Formats: sequence, C-alpha cells, structure tokens
Amino acid sequence: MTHSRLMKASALAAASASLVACSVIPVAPEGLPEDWIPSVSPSPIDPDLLDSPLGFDPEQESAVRIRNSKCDELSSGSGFILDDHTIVTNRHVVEGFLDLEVNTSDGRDITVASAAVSQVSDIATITTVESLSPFAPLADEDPGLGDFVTIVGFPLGEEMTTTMGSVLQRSDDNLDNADHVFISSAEVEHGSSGSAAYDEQGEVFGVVYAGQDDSNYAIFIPISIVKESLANLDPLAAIKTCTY
Amino acid sequence: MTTLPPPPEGQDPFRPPPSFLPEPPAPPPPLPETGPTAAVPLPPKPATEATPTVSTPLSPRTGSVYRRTIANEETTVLTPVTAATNILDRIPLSERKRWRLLAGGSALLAVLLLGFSIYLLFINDQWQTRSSALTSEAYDLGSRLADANAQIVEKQATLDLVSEQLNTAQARILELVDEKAQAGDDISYAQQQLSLYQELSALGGSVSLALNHCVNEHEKLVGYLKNPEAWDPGDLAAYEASVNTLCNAAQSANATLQKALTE
Repeated sequence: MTHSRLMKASALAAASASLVACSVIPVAPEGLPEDWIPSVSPSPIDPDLLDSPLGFDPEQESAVRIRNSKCDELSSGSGFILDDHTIVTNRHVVEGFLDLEVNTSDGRDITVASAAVSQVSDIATITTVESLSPFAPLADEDPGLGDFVTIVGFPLGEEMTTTMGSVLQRSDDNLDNADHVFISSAEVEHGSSGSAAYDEQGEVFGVVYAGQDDSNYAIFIPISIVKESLANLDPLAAIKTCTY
Repeated sequence: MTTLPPPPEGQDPFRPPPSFLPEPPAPPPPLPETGPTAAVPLPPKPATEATPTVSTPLSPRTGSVYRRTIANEETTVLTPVTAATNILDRIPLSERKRWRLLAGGSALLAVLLLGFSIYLLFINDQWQTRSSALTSEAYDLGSRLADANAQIVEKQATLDLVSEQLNTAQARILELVDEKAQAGDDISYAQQQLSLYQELSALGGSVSLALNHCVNEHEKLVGYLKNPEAWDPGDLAAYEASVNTLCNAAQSANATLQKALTE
C-alpha cells in the first residue's frame, strides 16, 4: 500500500471516527420545564351517587312499603316506583282495602289516589297524588337460569332489606297467578310481596309474589307477564263499610 | 480469505522483497590502515556468502557502524556510517515526511483535545448547574409530595369517618323509617280498633234499646194477660207473637254483641 493510499485511508478512518464521536459527545442540557406536575382532570362522579342525596342505591330508593287497612286486619307489602305517579305491587297486597298508605324508603308518606288490579296475574298498581322518584327501569327480557338477582323489599313489614341470589328454575305457577314463574335463591318473607327483582344491570326483570315455604326462596313473575298485566288493569275500589 | 503466494525458493518469507528496501549507497572507499602492517586488500567476498541482516555495530573502536545492505540478490556491501552524521540525514526522506505529518497531526490532535476539553468543561458546568436545579426541584417535589400524601391520608381518614357516619346515618334512617311505619301501623290498627269499638258500641246501644223494648213490651204483655177477658184473644195472641219476635231479635243482637266482644 502506498503512502497516499495510507493517508486516504487514515483520513477516511478519522472522518468516520469523528462522525461516531460526534454522536457520543455530550451536549449542553436543555432548560428545565416550568411545571413538573401534569394537569389532571378529576374523574366524573358516579351518577347513581348524584341521584341519591342519602347515598342509597336507586333500587333501594325505588322501593316502597304499602299498608293495607282492611276491615278485620292490617297487612303490609312491598312495591316499586314505575313512574311519576305509579307504583307496582301485587294484587293480593291491595285487595280488600279500606285504606291504602304508601311509605317511601326515606320515610315519606304518600297519598294514594286509586288502585288497579290485573286479571292476568298477581299484579296491581297504585296511583299516587304526590310525584315519585326514582323510577325502576323495566328489563326487556325475562330472566335466564343462573342470572344474578337482587330483591329489595320490606319483609314482615319491617326494615327495608336487600337480598341477593340467582335464578334457580322456571316453574309452573301453583297459585295460578301467572302462566309461569321463576324461583330464585334470594330469600323473602311475608311482606316482601310486590318487591322488584332486579337483574345485574339494575333493571326489573320480575315481581316477587310468594316465597317457598321451606326455604323462603323468592318466587317471582317474569317481566313479560308483568308488562302484559300492566296493559290490562281493572280499577279496584276501596271497601266502604265493614260488616261485623 | 485469500492465500498469499509462497515466497520464491531460498527467500526468507518474513523478509520484505528487495523492492521495498531503499537503494544501496555507493560503496565507500577502502578503509585506511590503522596499524603498522600493510594493508591487505580484502579479498572480494563471493556474492553467495552474503547474508542479508539488519545493521549490526561492528567497530566500537571508531564509533562507526557497518550496515550490511542488500544491493541485489547476489551482493551485499557493508557501508560504514560515521557518528558525526545527523540522525535525520540517516532517515529517508519519506520517513521524515511521515514523521512531520505525525508531528503535525499530533499537534493538531493536541489542539483539538484541548478545545474538546474546554468544551467538556463548559458542558460539565452546565450539566452540574442542571443537576443542582434538578436536585432542588426534586427536593421541592418531594416536599410537595409529602404534603400531598399527608393530605391524602388526612382526607382518607376523613372519608372513612364520613363513610362510617353515612352508613350509620343510613342505618338510622332505615330504622326511623321502620319506626315510623310501625307507628303508622299502630295508628292504623288503633283506628281499626276504634272503628270496631264504635261499631260495637253502636251495636251495644241497639241491643240495649232492643232489650229495653223487649222488656217494656213484655211487661205490657204481662199486664194484658192479667185481664185477658178485656182483650180480643186474637189481638192478644198477635201482640204476644210480636213481642216474642222483638225479644228474639234483641236476644240475637245481644248474642252477636257478646260474640264480637269476645273476639
């Protein structure tokens, strides 16, 4: 190799080395940022909490207690708010009433204007004078086996309770109050009649109307029959006088 | 990998070919005699005896060195080099060029290194400034983070307390709602009982009135029967039957009242 070639090779090597070296030569630091903390926006509050001034679940706030004063006895049942002035419950909760009284879950007394019952199933409605809220949304479909179920009501006419379970089976109605019913593992008591059975989305997919004698498992009318019943209601008049 | 061709026969493979060696200098004049003996010219060495090697000091007496240089493949001439010769003169020109370039390059490199060192000092100073600023900022952020953590702990404790209070309040609300409902039930039941008692009271009054009528009519009947000749027998019998009907009704009402009272 001649000297000139050696020199060219050396120059080339030096140039390459310079290029490589420039990439690792430290440079001056950039200026510091003025603000080290990124701005964050707060997460939106759960709308369910905003709708509930007392911090109850919507399912709890929709539950009502119904007192039926009859000639010879006093009974109580449960129900839920369907719309501004309508409460859904069982027919047997309102039948034979001299006087009906409704208490909301937060303790307000609601004046009853009228009642109506279905001849299709054990379903009835109560129309109120005062405006009601919040409404319990109705599901589009009947429950399926294994579905999660939540029942909110006033068992034994006492404190409001929430029981949970799953849908166990579809059954014929032994009491002939509906074409077919569903049995769930959520437990109920006397006084739970008329309670809403909620699915996981918080929609009503059934109305409790009885409990199994041995297990207290809730038996409820599926929403399809409830809707059919609500479309065919007959007025129910109060009893005027009692005969002893 | 390429394979080098084998060296020619009889050539040292580690020795460069003759063309890479500098041209041999002209043969020096014969060395003068140093002793009393007459100079005897050295017999010419056969070229075949020449053995190419590197320079070797041969005569410490004169300070000269003999370089045995390969002139060609056949002959080797020993060339004396005097100590007075400048060392640069003994370096070939190309070698000197190379040294100059090396020196120049070294100087340039030294200048570049000096400049680079100054640059590095400047950069180092800037990075140290930044490091100090970052350390200060880190302490500030750490302090703010500690404050924020303390606030979070405090807020969490407050939130826990408020949640507990909310649960208590909700439970109390449910209790109060239930108590109110039970009170409503009691009132309704009391109203029912009141209505029942009012009904019973009214029934008792009716029964009492019916029984009084019964007693009165019965006394009248007894009076009529004390003097039966004064009355038409048919009318007397009819009156007696109506009194019995009245008293039976009164007794029946009384039985109903007694039954209602015992329930």
